Amino acid sequence: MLAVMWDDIRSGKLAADSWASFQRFGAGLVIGSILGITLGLFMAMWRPIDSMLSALVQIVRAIPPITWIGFSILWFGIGTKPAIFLIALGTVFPMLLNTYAGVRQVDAIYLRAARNLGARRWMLFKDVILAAALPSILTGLRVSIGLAWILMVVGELIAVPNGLGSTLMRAQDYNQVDRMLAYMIVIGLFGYISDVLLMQFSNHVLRWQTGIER
Amino acid sequence: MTAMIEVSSLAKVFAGRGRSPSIVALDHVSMTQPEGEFLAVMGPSGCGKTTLLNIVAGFETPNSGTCKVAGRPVNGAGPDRGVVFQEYALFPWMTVERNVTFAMQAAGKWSADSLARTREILSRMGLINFCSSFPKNLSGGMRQRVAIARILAIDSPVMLMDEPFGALDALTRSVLQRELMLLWSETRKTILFITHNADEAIYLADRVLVMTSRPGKIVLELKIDLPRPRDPTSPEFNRYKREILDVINPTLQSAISSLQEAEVL
Repeated sequence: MLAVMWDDIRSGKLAADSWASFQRFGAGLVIGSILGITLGLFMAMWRPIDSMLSALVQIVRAIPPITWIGFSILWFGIGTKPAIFLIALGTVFPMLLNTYAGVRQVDAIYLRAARNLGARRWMLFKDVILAAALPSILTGLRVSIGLAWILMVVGELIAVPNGLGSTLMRAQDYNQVDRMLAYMIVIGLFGYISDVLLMQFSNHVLRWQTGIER
Repeated sequence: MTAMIEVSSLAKVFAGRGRSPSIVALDHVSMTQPEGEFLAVMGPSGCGKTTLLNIVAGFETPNSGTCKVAGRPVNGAGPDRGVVFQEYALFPWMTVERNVTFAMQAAGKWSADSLARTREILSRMGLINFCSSFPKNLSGGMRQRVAIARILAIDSPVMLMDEPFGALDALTRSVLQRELMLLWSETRKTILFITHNADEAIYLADRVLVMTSRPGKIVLELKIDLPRPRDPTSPEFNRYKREILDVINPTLQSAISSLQEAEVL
């Protein structure tokens, strides 16, 4: 297995696959996050938008992303786009729900104090509401990153010529057990590294938080 | 002296929800506070003193009556009436210094020398070594100092203090009381100070208004004619204290017996 892995590293196949997959992962995650955070903020801050969208959101959320494969091929054809669509679709909901919860849980005393100091819309939003909701938003991002790696592999089931998931699936078809295992480990490592990086980022940004001492 | 805060016939009723009865928090309360006065409003919990402050601050609207600050009717919260909260209400995600600079920016008082002014205020409050600390790393007394620094920075003509030292230990409380007294002597701001502590009210204020609960009304007005700093163990101090407690204790007693009748206790 190590020999296969070494070969794939040397031939540049692993790097090419990783880069292709990473691009899909990144694009899907960015689209899903921006959409989820925006929708979450709007729904949490304006009741009419909340009551308008909440049922729709919950219904769409209940449909497993994998079941959209058919439609995503119909809409986007074969290639990179359906994979990005699946990742965005899967990550939008954890981002939305966590952003929503974060904003709803902002302690009223902060809003009161900020208004007393004279803060108007933009400052109130940026320095108080968003800052207070940030821990929750980052929790959403952590869940989303995990989901995005899974959906990246699922998305590459659809005929894409390269990528970690695609090579893994082909290895399965040709019974290349060594390569299957090697790529599974690589995907696991990437998931782990991205989580570690996010946690380091979170711990720095949220260093103001009180938590249990360990 | 001109009146800074004018409250006339203010009434506020909190409607009961479900089975809980509605509460008359303020029963046609009137008072006038001249510019530069240190006024304490004192009373047992539930007497509506915080409601009074919240209306002056613009956090709540009265059911009837008027409230004017500097001659203008109060309409919403604003930096001309800086509030110091019992629970500090510092923004935990901002450093000590950022809490102060944010206040200046929010109040529209940011200028080229604001950072220097921030440093000056923080050293005045004994916080200069904690500029880059987060509130979680500060003690309660230090946090309240930051909250006071924040209001000094925006230079509110009126300072509203809602039991600011209520959550502190006795020693820290007396240190902060003394600091506040000195600060007021320097700045002569109009301070409306809410407390449930008679000693604190007499130690700090030019005048004490005593409120009782259900319905919340002012039952005693007391001018404290003692030179500062005041000695809480002096006979004159205690004469004022007795006068206040004589008014409060009977109403507390009747509140307890009415609770007993209702078989709550």
